[in-house]
Amino acid sequence: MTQLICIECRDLGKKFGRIAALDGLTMDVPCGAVYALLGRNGTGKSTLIQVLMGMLDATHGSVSVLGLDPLTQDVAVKQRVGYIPDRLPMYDWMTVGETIGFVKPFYEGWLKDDEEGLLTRFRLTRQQRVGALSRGNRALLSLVLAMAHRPELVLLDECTSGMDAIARREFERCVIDALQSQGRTVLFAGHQIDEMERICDWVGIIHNGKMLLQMPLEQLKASVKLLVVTSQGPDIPALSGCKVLSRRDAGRDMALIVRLDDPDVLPEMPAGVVLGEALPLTLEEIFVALVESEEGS
Amino acid sequence: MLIRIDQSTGVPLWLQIVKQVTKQVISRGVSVGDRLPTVRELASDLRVNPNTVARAYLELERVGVVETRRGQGTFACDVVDRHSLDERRKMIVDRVDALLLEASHLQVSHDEVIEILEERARAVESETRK
Repeated sequence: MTQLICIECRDLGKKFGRIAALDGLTMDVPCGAVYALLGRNGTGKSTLIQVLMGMLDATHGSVSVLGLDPLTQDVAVKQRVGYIPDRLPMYDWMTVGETIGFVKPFYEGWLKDDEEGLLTRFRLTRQQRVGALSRGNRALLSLVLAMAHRPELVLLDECTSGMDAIARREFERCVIDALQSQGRTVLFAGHQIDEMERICDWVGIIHNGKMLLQMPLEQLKASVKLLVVTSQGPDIPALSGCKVLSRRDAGRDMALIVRLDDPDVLPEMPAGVVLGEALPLTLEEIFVALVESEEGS
Repeated sequence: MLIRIDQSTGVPLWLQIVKQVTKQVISRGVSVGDRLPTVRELASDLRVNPNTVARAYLELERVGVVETRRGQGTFACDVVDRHSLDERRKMIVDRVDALLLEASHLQVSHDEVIEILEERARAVESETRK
């Protein structure tokens, strides 16, 4: 099955002085995917997104967005991409209406009906001053600015952190409704992993400026499991067919979080070890296990 | 139709939707011929990826719990009529397995489980007769 690739990065590197924010990152985001970019604070997520938008130039490696080079073809890229940065930069002294009026002329594909519809849906009025908006409403206004030109690709950089639950749900509903359109791709970076798990179908985990892994969500959930084992002896010998990420002892039982070599293929138990249960994990639990194991090694 | 997603179990969301819709259709919580929400409506309601709902609906159609009529929507089927006893039994085997596992954790023997089942079956029957 051929799949069109919306975003492609090959061995991408970005240095700030001597610090490598991105260090040989390789990523493929298929068209139509909802791609969750996970990683601890400071691992390079925002830097990556800024490189994708052509706001930063890479030190080495290559990047292509919608088949275009974000540095040399940045105008073309920006026409087709909706971007919400983490700091929601807007002019506090402008009103909602003025902000929209400021941004709108840049976009050929701006749709007045979409603008009206979104403002109504988010209960924003044009007279409100941006500086007086709550954090949640600021993020919703950013969403209007990012979506009213019906972009093919939406990049969301930690927009929902600090939002109250109601505003966040409204934000998510809007993103989900936008997904109904064919071929639209969303990449979002954030820390609300539970929320992201509901919406995404691809996961990429960044660690130390590199991609630790990237795969469909379903494959990841089939590959990382919690095994409850009981051992006759004092310890368990090494298990083949998987990598043990973490272990917790509880009396004679042990809870092992393992990464299976083959999804859904459980390791054979050595003599004296009995497998009680193989349980699925939430995306957040999987993320924590993988990253902590990487940091520990 | 009330569906509640529980992410803490790690069970895939599409499968949770399949199980809950199935239960509601079988128990007549959703009547035969009722129209289910569209993929778009349910995805927005549950705040999940529309593909997740689409996948659940595909599976539900595959096993005959719902049927999609082009241009009209997705409708609940007459499950009892459509499915043989074998297929309906398969639908509760999961629950029975979970029960047996829990019983063994609690050191309750299989014979005791059967005893409890019969007791409870009698109690429920006399309740419904009242």
